[in-house]
Amino acid sequence: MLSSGCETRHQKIVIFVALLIVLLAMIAPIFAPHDPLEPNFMHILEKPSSTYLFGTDQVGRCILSRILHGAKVSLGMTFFLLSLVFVLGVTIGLIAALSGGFMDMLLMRLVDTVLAFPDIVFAIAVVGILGPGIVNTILALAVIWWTKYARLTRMLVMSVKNTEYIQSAKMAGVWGLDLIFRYILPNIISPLIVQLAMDIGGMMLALAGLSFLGLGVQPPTPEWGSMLSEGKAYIQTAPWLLLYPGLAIFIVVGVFNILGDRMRDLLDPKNMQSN
Amino acid sequence: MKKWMISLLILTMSFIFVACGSAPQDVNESGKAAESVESADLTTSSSSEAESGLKTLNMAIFWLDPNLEPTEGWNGWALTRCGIGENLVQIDENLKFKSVLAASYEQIDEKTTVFRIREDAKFQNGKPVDAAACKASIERALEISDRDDVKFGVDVIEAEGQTLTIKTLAPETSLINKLTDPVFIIVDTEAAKDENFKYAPICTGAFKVVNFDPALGMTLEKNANHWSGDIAVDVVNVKYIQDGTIRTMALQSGEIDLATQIQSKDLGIFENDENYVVYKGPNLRVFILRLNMDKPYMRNKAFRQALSYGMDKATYATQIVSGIPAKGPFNDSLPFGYEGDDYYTYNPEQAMALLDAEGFLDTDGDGIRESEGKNIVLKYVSRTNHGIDANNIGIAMQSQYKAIGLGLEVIQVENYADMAKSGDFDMLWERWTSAPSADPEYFLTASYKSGSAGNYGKYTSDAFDTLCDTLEKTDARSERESLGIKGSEMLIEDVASLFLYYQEGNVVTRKNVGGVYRFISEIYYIDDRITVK
Repeated sequence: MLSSGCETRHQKIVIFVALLIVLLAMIAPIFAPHDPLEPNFMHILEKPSSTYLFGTDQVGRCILSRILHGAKVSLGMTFFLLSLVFVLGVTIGLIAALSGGFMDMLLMRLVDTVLAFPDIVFAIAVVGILGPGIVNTILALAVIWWTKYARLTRMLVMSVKNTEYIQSAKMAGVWGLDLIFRYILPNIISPLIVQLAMDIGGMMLALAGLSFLGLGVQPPTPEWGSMLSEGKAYIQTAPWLLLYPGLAIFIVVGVFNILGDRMRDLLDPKNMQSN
Repeated sequence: MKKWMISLLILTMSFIFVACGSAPQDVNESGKAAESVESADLTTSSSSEAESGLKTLNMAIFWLDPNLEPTEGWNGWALTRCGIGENLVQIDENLKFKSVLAASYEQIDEKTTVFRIREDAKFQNGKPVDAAACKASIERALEISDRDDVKFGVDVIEAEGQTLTIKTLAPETSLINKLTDPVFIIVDTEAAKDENFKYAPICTGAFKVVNFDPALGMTLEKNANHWSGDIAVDVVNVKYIQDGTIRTMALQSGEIDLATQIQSKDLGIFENDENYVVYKGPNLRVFILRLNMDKPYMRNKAFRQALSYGMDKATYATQIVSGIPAKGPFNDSLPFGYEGDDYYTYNPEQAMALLDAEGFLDTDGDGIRESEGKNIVLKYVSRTNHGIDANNIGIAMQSQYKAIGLGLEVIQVENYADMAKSGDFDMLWERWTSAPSADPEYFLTASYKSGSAGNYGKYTSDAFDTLCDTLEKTDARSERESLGIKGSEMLIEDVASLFLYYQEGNVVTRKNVGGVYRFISEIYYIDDRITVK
């Protein structure tokens, strides 16, 4: 059992590393030693060296540069997609909970229907129909992923909408968006943020998985999943093609999963009370 | 804190391992790993066969069609490649005609050819193969095959005992070439009436089909009735493995004894290992990018020339795929291969000048030229099982085309055939054994003649069509060859396709496998000479 001081230190480290990753992704082009898109036929499949720290790929592109630029693509897509499904899911959850009746039933059955499909299989089917590419991948995952926020939001709103402070607010004449933004959302946002933080890793893996299957990001855009896909044919002769993007996914997903755990501990009402 | 330290240590060790390890060591490490994870399916079956004392060969092929009906498309290639089907005459490993079911043959005149069928030839079901059986098989192929490119007009086919006489309506100098095509594998036409025939055809080869699964492969057993005598291998397990990397791993793990088309980058693994034998050399396979002439900009010859000038195929061939840069449809080791200088070698300045002159300009400054107000982003389509080479060349072209102001979208798809037929492409990756019967007519006619089935790019040229017609009517071998060269040059000059590279073919076996020959044509992989120690 970690002491409270040790836990706080761990939380700080995790948050620091997560912020560092995001920062690195944002300023990657400054650090990238080479053009991530430019093939160099004289340096095909070069082992890691002082010139190419992570080696080169099958058309001579610098793997380090591609990983740095890939961070921007992978994290950028993840954050954009999560923002999209968060807004969509929370909005639908609020509408369902506050409307009640037929609208609630309709929206929740829609959620049940979408959740009946395994998420990645459903996403593959959607991208398969629409065709590969960044936009279609985002669309495919958004179609699935909003449901968990809708369901969570509905449940949270249902638990607070009959509380005394909400009733008091209503009696004081607060209605509509005012009620939502001033009284409901502030009281349900913590679990939603925890869910959001815990989904970063999962979303990143889903995006990388689709790119690995050739359905997500298309060449020559650097993305960790597609780098793994391109490199898998060279697992014996040039393992660095797989090692570095694999490590990048492993580290970043791990850090954001730990971050999600820590945020859950931090924002848990029981912990907050005991603290 | 300890956990963090250990994690850090593992990470550091991983970096050092990759940075300092030599490639061959990586290969061995990975190979061992592969051994433990590869499926036990085949090894289980082969071990049980080994226990029963049967000589078993496990081989991998990279291509298998949905069924084995030889008259459908190119399905018959699996039969010839695996020693199941035989023709009257075949092409040997040195591209010479070899009498197989026909003990001998003679061209009496330009329309008449007489074949003497082997006395001891039998079908795999024990029925004797006589001239009547061969006649029935050839007539069946001519009647039902969808391969018009290998058909010929028949006046009469006469069968008398073991003597088969084919009289054609018109002079057919290439009759023997056509009869070597797997479409004309001799089959038992009585057995062919059975619905199951297309999954277990009755032919005459050294091995007969016991089990066929289009997704997994075939199980073959030796044909006890084969005319060459006792076959040294009892059972052949043919595994259908599309992915070159998996074929490599399967060879390393001992799951298979023989594999074809090992990727060039993996070949060194076996060349440096005394437990394997590598047979390699030029083959007749050409890799091309078919251009879609339905697109308005593609109809502009200068645009196509710019496409050709804009890509450095010599570098792609030598650096990316370890092949030979292609000039035209036929390897110049063939008597009808174009031997002159390449018309359009890499010259990006020339490409840009041509595009500028033709009005393909970048008016909005986004780096991509426009045609009819829209950015020119070409669609480069390959099939998933065309492998990583198709993708790598696409990526390389993407960069070089961007430099001349053209966009390129590189995609690998499963529904390749649908896209090809519907014309949903600008550039279509194709690989062809362009002269499997050692004659130029088949590929030129089937791929580029106006309206032909394989002409997915809808290329049309009156001069070229006339040449194809002339070729069809020409008898003299030397004239046919010179027409082949001329036709190739026409296609090259007119940029009918982008001819990328010729492949170096290979067959890799474990040391215990003997009697393997690398056929330049790649229609055959194993035959009655195969042995396993």
